[in-house]
Amino acid sequence: MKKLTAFGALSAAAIAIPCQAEVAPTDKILSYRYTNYQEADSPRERTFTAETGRYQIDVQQFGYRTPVGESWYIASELQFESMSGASPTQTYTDADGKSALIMSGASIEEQRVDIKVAPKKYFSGGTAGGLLALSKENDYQSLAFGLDGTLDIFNKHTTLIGSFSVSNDELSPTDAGLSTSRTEADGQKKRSFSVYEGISQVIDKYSTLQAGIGYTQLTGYLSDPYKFEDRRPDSRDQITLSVQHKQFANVLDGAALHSNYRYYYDNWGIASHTLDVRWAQALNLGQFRLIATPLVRYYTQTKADFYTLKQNPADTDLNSSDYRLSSYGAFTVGFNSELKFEKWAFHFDWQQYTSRESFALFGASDDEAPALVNFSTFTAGIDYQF
Amino acid sequence: MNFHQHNFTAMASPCKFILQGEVPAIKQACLKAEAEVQRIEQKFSRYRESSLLQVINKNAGIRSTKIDAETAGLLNYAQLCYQQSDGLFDITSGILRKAWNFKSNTLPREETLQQLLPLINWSTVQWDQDEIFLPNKNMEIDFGGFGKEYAADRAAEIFQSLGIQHGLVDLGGDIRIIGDKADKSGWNIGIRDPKQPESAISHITLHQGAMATSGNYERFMQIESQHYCHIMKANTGWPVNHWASVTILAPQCLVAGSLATLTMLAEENGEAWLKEQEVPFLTIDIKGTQSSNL
Repeated sequence: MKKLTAFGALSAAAIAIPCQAEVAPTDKILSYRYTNYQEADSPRERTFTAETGRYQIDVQQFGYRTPVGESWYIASELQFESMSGASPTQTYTDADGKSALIMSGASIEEQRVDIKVAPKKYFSGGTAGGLLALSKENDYQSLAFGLDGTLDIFNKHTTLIGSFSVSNDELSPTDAGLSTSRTEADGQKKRSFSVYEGISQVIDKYSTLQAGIGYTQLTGYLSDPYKFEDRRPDSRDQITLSVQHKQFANVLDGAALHSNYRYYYDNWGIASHTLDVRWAQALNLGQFRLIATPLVRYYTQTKADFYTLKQNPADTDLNSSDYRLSSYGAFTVGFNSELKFEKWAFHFDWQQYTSRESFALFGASDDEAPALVNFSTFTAGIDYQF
Repeated sequence: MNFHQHNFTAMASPCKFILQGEVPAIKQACLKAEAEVQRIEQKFSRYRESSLLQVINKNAGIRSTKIDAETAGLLNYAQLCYQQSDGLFDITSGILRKAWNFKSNTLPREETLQQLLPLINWSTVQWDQDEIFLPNKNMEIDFGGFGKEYAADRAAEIFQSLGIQHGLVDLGGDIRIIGDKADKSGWNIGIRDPKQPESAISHITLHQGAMATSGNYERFMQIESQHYCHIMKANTGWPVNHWASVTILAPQCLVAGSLATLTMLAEENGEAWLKEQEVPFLTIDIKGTQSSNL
């Protein structure tokens, strides 16, 4: 073996000098995003009425991030959503053994406003942050509060990450007199409590690995008052295990491969796996810098224990025909892009989501879930840094 | 693409950034990179009251001082330089300036040097990742031997992280390339002539990496036709006197600078040692003989 020269030893020691603590960002950034979310129509051969159109959401988001003092950074966001269209009310198996889907009719027309403020303090060995979020629509309001922190250890090669958050939501369904479930739900509360612990490790100059475990507890009124025959438990415990790997590559003007896997399990009987792979490619085009990121995601879940396609289940039983509680799988393909020019950054993102019963890898059943949704989202945005 | 130059002074040296690209983005990046250089100077300056280095030195012989990971990383680096130079490079040797006054044109008295030499001994310093303790009340450390080179690397990394692709950082002659010129023709860098430091004895073209020079012409005095420069051997307290200048190319400016200084310190053994390192170099000895593998 060749002996280590002074040059080799010094180079290694020089690389090992950690740069100083995480530095608070010093730029102010104003941002705007417009997102259109469009669900594909339901299959007419399964819908009970001629109504097949589904949800459409337009989102406008205004963001402002600014440093405060030397070590604080505050991110704030104001978001307006306008939703319209119809949603599935019930799916059941009819007398002929075929699945039938009842849609709500194009009755929904709603607005939602979200406000978020997240201050963060940068220390020499980590960060501490908070989050306050308020969300209001005519039939729902939510207040959330969170704290998070990071701690650098082992010369900053390892970072411990921790966060916790609580939220308190209140339901006030529109036309509460219209159905028993809406009347029941009026004024009901829903609470959540989440904790996450993670560790991020620099493997070498080109790769990092993060692993974490999260737990969320939901309690209160967890049924959907707008659906028929929807009676769910009043608590839900959710556990997630996740691993994220980032590998930088010297391709063209720089690239990174992000691979994420997540396992989820809850006490409603749902287990899911998510695999997400994206390639972020930087390209310098004269005065522009483009970061183009194609992505694919696969998701598969098993159904909830009380998922049922009975048309008239017993009132004493827990039951739901919500397609989100069925067993299914889904593929997402997408393309995100960011084009930087001087102090401006332009964003164009597109995603197509397709879900099917037959895409499920585990616990697939012959039950049809005609309400399973396909949707596409498109985002256009602009950032100004000053 | 046009060139944009940003000049400032730091670490008692004229400093400049030369960059190509869009002016508003470059100007902002220059401010951030300069702030990083100033940060390093403030933290590690021997002269600034309340710098971390001053605190460490004031606590000498009294108590240990808490240090952060960056400081520990630099101490570890200094330790390696100490080992690789068999103790000739020692960050506790800055105290010799009490004996050597290059403006006085007089040599220090031998007994003054003998009083200082016991205070120069890096191996007696107690330190780990979290704290450092100088065992003798009059001991001092300083990072003058590599602080500027380290700052050049950090400044270049700031530029790179901000997406600047074409440019160089020049902190008083310590050069670190941020990225090649837009037309990939390389940056033309002059190497000073030790006899006439204001003119270049040679030029090289750098596309990446760093270049640092250690020379006997930076601070010196000439007494009875003998040249005394500011690079001192830690074991004797006397200046080296074999090389007029040593220029090294390496990926990092910090490493280039240390290899140059270590070669100066190794004197006549420096040539063989330098060849073992397999790095590009240009040396000029005090007789004016050039040797290079560039």
